[in-house]
Amino acid sequence: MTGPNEQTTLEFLAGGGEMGRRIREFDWEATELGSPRNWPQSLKTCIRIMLSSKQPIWIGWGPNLLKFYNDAYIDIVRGKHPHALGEPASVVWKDIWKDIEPMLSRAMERDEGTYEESRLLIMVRSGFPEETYYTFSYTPVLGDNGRPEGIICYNTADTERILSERALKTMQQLDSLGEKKREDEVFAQVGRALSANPLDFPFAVLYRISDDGGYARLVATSGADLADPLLARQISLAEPDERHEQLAWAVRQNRMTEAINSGHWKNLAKGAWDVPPKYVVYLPIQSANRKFPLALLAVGLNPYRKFDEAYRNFLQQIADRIALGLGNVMAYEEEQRRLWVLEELDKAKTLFFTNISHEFRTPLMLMLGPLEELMNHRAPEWTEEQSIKVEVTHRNALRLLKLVNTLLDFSRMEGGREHARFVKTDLASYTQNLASNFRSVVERAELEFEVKTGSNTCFAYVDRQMWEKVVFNLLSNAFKYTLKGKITLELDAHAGQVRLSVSDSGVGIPAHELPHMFERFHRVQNSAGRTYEGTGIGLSLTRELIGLHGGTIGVESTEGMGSCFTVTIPEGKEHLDASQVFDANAEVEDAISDFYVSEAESLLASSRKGLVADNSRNDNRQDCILIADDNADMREHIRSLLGSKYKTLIASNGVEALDLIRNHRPALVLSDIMMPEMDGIGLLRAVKSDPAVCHTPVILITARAGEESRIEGIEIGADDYIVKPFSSRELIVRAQAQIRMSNERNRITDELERKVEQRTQELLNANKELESFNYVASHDLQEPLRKIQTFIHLIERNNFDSELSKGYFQKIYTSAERMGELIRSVLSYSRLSKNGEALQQVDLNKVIEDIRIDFELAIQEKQAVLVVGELPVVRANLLQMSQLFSNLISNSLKFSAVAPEIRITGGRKTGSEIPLASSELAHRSYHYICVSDNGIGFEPEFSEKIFALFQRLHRRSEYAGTGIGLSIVKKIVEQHDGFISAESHPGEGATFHVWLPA
Amino acid sequence: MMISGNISILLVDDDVDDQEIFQLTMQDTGTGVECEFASDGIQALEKLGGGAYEPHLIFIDINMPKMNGMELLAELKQNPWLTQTPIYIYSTSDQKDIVTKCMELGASGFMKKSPDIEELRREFSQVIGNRLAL
Repeated sequence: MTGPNEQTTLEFLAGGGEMGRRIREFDWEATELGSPRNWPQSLKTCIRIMLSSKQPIWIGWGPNLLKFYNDAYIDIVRGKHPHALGEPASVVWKDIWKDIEPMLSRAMERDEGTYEESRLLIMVRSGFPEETYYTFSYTPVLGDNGRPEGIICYNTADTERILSERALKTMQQLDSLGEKKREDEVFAQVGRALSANPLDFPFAVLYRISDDGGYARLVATSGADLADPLLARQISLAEPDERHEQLAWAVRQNRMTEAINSGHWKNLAKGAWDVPPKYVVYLPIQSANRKFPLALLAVGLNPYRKFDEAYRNFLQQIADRIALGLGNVMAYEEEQRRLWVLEELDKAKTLFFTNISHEFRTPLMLMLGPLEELMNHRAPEWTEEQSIKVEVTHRNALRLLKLVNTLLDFSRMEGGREHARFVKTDLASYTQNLASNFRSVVERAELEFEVKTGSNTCFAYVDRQMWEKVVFNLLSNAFKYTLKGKITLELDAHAGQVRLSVSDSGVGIPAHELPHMFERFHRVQNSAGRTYEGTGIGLSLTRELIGLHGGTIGVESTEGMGSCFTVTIPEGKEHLDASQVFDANAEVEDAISDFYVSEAESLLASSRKGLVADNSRNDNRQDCILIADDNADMREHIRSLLGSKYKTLIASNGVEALDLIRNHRPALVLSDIMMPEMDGIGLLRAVKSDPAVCHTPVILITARAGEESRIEGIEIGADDYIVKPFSSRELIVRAQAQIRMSNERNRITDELERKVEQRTQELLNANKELESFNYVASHDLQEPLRKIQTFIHLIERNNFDSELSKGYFQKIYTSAERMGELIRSVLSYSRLSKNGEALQQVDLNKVIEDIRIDFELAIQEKQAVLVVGELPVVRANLLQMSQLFSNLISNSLKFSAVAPEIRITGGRKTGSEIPLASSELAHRSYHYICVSDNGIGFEPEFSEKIFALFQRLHRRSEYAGTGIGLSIVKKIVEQHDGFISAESHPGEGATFHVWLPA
Repeated sequence: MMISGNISILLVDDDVDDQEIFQLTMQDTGTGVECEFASDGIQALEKLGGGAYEPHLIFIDINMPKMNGMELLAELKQNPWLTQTPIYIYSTSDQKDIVTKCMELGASGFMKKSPDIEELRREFSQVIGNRLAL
């Protein structure tokens, strides 16, 4: 132990934390270094530096390099701390001595320093040999004798950095898994990436697991060869042999499992190490939608690395990366498979088109032949009608043939089986010839037709049949969409290109449609042409034909002004496949030209017929049906089916149809869906949104049997559908059903409307009554109240002058009385509104007798006479009857001159005798009671007004009254389903007629 | 138009009490007034017919037998003699829809029959003042 005196000499040992303390407390005298007091200055300086440094430093001193180290170095010696202090370096670093001994000797013996960067050292720091990396330097330290007596070693721990760099590198090599298209590529890359890291993967084996989890197939290895006899190519997981029980178990667990590497893999591979892995980890490569993993990766663990969180995460990341790669591949393969299926489907479709078109052609030809025969040799006994029928059949068979031919061309093109024969041709004359076929039909349609081919010949290599199709397609298109004006065909050659253009003055193409004109099956919506019929492949076919010639096609158009299609093909034959170029054309031509021309002719024939369609038929067949179809033959057909039962109207497009519907209000509309200008859907929408005609049932006729057009129709309210082709019977039955339903619907609607009107009237009456109440509250009731206030003011102002006040008090009293009367009347009126009071047999004779008693005083005073005849017994509310006649009698008493005479008589009437009763009540029986007087009467124009609430005919000064009495009377009568009227002339008395149901 | 002498006023109202109150209050304004009365529209039309009687101001009650105030107002507005004569409505109720209707028909103002005599007098003074200023 050091005494107080030695403190100063041992200053170099001051501080230094735990190791400072340990060095101070260490019994150095027992070692070869002796007492610290005698240590050379250089050692003291070094220790001082070491203890005050935060970097791991150790010092070896003396022949055996006894060890000093600081706190930072404790983590490096780990399990050897603290007994490493003062021990020879060779003992402390026994496990790595062979690595470091040469460097230490070089420092000690030759006074040379060393510097080692990231040196791998397998150190036993925590009880097991561990892979560590250090950067360190040995610097010799001279003793007092001027020779190296020890070394000082600066250390930097690099283990974590090195391990994470290695992991990163492996992960980067697995990055490319995401781009792999096939499973074997994924597996190969996994093998390469793991083989590149033999330190962390002494060996790794990847097995692909079958979908049912039944067996595992070896797909990748690292550290060992795929053909290594220790590795099974295929492992049955259902019944694994003893060697693979662990593996099978791991597959079933489907999670990361560790096992001791004790079995046959013990000798598989050591990787970069001198010992084989002690543990194997099984990593399932998981997929979210599978019960079993996609694959299983077995990794022999690095024997010199603790299997800690970082190592575990690293392996898991690798498993995830592989899973991702496999998932991508599977998705890609699935997509490829779908594409393949689609392609096959497409091929099948094309084949189907081809076959069916061929099949169609044969029967069509067989129909056309005999039909032509019939037309050319018509029998003399045929009627005009019969000839027309044959013509219609022939025309439409031709049309069908044209459609079938187009389909056939199209499917040939689709199937890549259009083999061109390019032949040198003078396009100017050839095209001119083709165009001349069209001249007669164009001119018959009263269109101008100009063909400009210039004076020069222009030669080009074309397949003549194809060129013919191109020319005819463009011309027949122009013809279809040009109703007046001109069609121009131009052909010229310029700068090695032949240019053909067909322009027209037709309906034109909307700007937004232009980019789609050459797309397959594209149709311009609602264009106003001769027909809507077509396949939608004409222009697309044309473009493909031109494409085969190495040319281009374009279109320019202004809606309403016309369109211009321009075709350009190169001259010469350099751009063509030599095998398809011929010098002369041996084949016969002119096979198809007929179809285009005859199609145009049939269109012309249809439209001619359309013009003479007769819309003005007027006879007494009841219901009228509108038929809208752009095909004249179809219109005539439908008309012939329905014409015997119904009147028919004819329209060739939606616009015409809408016009006719609005003007003629047909009972039913039968409309084709595809029509120019406005199609059937447009027509349906227009009809259903016009309140005047929206109730008209509409049956759509569609040739598209697909569900889409049905659903589209139902949403906008088509009443029914008929799909072409339809039987005559089906059409008739459906039309009849719609007309019947529509008539029924109209009847119900009328009934409903009547009821609504009645209800509305009742509501209006109730509302009027409410308004009157409003008025009475604000006016009649306020009036006496205001007066009372005013007179009180006046009394005050006159300083309660007794004479004046007396008069005012009288007025106040009168006003208050009037108010009381008003409130009572209003109350009794409003009570009448409450229904539900029981009806009973009321003897009106008795009622009048009671009233006579009530009014006895007044009757006496006025010297009135009450003459009552025999009155009926009615089923009524007793109190209300009493009020009714009280009011009438008191009215008569009130509005009388001297000696009133009131007569009340009874009788029996039928509804037809009551002026106010509606015709429905004509046969109902009524009690009739008449109350008449000889009073002042009233002007006849007031005979209705007097029953209104608060209606007074007289100034209050003449006849007092609330204006409610007669309103009550009327209401009572009405609540008993009766009627009341009044008649009078001034000075001639008044008569009230009351009818109550018997 | 300058007015010399008394101002002549016609009140059309079937209520004699109101006629009395009207006259009392008009006299209270201190301006020389000459009140005439009609008990209903028919009587008023008779009085005004042919331009024999041309009051400076007309007041009409709304709630009257046979022909109510609004009907009378409409009729008077058709009368060529009275195109420049201000017609005021003088009524117990100042229900909004009725006021609007009267103003539409061409009434110069709507005066509520106030229970407060003082207030009534002020309003009358105002109306007469307006008339004199024209």
